[in-house]
Amino acid sequence: MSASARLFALPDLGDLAPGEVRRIDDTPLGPVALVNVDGELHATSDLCPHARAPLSEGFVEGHWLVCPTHFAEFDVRSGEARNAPPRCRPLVIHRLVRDGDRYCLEIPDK
Amino acid sequence: MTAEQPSIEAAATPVGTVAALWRYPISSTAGEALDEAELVETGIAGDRQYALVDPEIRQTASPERYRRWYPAPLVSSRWSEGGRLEVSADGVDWRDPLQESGRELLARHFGFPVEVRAYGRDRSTDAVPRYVRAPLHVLTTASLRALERLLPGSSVAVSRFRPNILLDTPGNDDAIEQSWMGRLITVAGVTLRVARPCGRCSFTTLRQDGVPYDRDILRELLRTYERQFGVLCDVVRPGRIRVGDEALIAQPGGGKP
Repeated sequence: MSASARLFALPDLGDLAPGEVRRIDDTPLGPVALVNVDGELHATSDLCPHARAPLSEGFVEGHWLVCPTHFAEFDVRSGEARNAPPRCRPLVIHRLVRDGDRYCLEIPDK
Repeated sequence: MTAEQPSIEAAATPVGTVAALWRYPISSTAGEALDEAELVETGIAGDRQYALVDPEIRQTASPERYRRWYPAPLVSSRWSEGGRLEVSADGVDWRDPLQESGRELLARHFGFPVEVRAYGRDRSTDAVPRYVRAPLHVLTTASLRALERLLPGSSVAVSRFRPNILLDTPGNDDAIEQSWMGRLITVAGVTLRVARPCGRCSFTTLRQDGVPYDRDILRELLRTYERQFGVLCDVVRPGRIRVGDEALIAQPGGGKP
């Protein structure tokens, strides 16, 4: 985390089970998808880079978040897209910071 | 016959017959099978005139995006003989969705208030189209058979693909309609121009009457067809067509394909 980056505390996610995804509205980074991959939490934009479908309405397979509309797949660790429509950009990935029992989104400097 | 409409039939080649006709008065709902259909410039008369809308958040039904709309294709819509729009969740109890009793049926089905609105441009009173498309959707039985061979464990029901016209095309010419791009289809004096492939989405995976939820459908369409299955057509010459009518294909200008 850079010295001036801010943190945005996320709500309690205690019941987000492995293989599940949940949308968090109204963060400074827009709607965010939180994905539990084998107990490890990942944060991405909730908007599919292709047609802005809400990825939290899709499903999780391993470390791939699958778009509900066209089944484009995004690696929640890197944002890499596969089986995506032509010219689909990578998914925006956000950094998470553990703060005691809570997770926070790192809000990068502009 | 006009200068723009040369003698298509004389130079056309038979490709099959009309196996079935459907229209979907309310988008996203299961539609109604027809014995005959009036084709107008905008497609089959009465097709996709209305949409389901959540009035509280002004969201047009989009089952390919939101799980809350997954039950949409379990509702049927039709035009009554008297020209009244009707919906049903069980195929027995049909109600007018523009009246309170129909809205009650829809609210019970979805678990939240749902209205039926005509498509238009005013977001406060109309349903806003989700996408712009050519008006008529044509699919062949050859394509369905090809997909069945690829997915022997799946239910490859035609209802997943929601065509307006299903053409019974003999043989195993996989995705034959994709080779018709830019050509003309004539059926009983009606002329269609094949405009573009129909790009598929997760609607094809949804549970419908007698058809289970199945992600393999879209996965296979992605893997084998780059999501293109069936074609969208413009209506060049309107008229009436019936199940059983012969379909012919020709090059624009009257040449043989």
